Amino acid sequence: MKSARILLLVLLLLLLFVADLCLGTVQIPLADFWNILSGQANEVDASTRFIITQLRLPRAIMAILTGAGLSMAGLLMQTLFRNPLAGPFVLGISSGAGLGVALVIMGAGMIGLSSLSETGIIAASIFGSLGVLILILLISVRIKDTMGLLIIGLMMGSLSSAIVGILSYFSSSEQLKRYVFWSLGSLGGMQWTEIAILAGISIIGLGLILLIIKPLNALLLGESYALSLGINLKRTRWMIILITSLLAGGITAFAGPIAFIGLAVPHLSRLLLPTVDHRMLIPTALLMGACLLLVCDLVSQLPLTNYSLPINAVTSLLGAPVVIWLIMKKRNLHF
Amino acid sequence: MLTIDNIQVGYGSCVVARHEGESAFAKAELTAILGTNGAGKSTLLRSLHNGSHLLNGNIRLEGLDINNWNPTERSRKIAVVLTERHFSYFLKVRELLELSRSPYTNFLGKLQPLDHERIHAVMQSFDLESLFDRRLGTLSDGQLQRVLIARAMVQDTEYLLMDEPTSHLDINHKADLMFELREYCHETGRSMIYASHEIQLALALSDKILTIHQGQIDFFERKELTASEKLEKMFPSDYLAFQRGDIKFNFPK
Repeated sequence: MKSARILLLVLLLLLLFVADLCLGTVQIPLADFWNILSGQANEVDASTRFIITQLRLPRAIMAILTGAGLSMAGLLMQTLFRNPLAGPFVLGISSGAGLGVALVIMGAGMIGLSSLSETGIIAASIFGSLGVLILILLISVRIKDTMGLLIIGLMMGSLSSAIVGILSYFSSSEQLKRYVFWSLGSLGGMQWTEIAILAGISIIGLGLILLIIKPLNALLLGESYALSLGINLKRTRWMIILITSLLAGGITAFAGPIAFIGLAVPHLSRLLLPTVDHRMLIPTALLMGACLLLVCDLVSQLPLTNYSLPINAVTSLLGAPVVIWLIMKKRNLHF
Repeated sequence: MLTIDNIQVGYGSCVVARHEGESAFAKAELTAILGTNGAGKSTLLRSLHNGSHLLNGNIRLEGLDINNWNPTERSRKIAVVLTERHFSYFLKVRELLELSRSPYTNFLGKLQPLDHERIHAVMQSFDLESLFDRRLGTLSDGQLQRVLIARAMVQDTEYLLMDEPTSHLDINHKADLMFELREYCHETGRSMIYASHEIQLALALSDKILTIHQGQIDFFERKELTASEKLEKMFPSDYLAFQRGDIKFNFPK
């Protein structure tokens, strides 16, 4: 029963993947798509080939990696904090990443440095999100109240944006533009090497998750019971932080902050299965996150027009109503 | 054998309760912990479980200091029932019990036939089969409490540490459950240590009574305690009368 639903999600993912490759400002016939896929690429004209292999394929893979990774980060946060409203964005992890990137793009100019490599931005984003996560965790040891934690997460966001505001006041329009474009989020324009790095990070993150599946399930009983079942709580906590920072920080570095996926997908997965067993929940959330972001990407391309919307705006437009719907039906809110 | 040796338990630098000399919780015995609110019953239980509130002295499980036990090895020796309920209410009773076999399963938590056997045996003896596929959020407080006690039994340990196991239960369930637990402990050589506010039930049931009074931890045989004036001193009230040598008390006014 549950495996059937997961299989259905796999099929849906394949369908959306093909749709994402074929639809857009230029429609590509399925025949051309099939020719490229089966290696008979010379039967397709060069511009179509370029659109598929250099533009749409990287973007579709980017959407899958981003959707799956953010869903994982959200799921881990919800289990760790035992809070159904936790997620990389709500707790200010994305804001931390944003602050890190702002410091590198705009702060570097202030102290007279000019070289801003892509690697520097990625590193800044990862350190930014790691910093906020560790701060949140240190606070969570003292404060058992989860609502308090959420408010602190929001305050982190405010603090970050205040610092970003000060930085942008003093930076050049060129630097400001670069930061604003980063913060709108984008799945496009990725080089294959960049996608390979993100894929590597995602695979490491997923591999580490495999090691803590049992502790994650034990955490569903609360920390004291988990401890009594022989779970190494300290190690599990730090593993969760590490994985979340890798995934959320890495994705935010490449694609910019992308809202709501990490919060909404774990809930949708729990409702679909329905179970909180991480052995089922993890594959489901991975697939559902990938599907959802492919849908968002399709919407953002505005098929049949020449316009495309920033991805972060689309996920918020689709995600905010979902979260409101979840809160209205409070009985469906679990962790 | 679980022993305490000149211990002080409490928080930070604040000692809540102490015990002088060395005492042991014997095999196949029920020990009730009695004391007024805030006396340190839960603090003592937590210290016995994992040494978390032990400020001074030694707590030893099978001769080895409780702090030096490997967590997984310890989870095969001691199971707990706590008053806090921070779990996911989306869990099914079945999933909760399966997770309680964690000390014995592999890194993915895969259950073996032996694990299923244990779960079903406990479900049968606790009469919980009808609740097997219910989510925790749909249970009443009393049903949940019985499930939590069953959970500790599923863990299949030598020691059961329980904090107010009879809370939320009807009087018939209280009696059934506690006397069945006693029978189980005596037959299988398990030890149960539990904190309780149910003085009468504790006196009727337990092999030993541990009292925490004015920061002092003492052990009593049941008869020894009822013959003394300890209970009157521990629970002073103008409206309450303990009768020496009896496990009953009444309300004379």
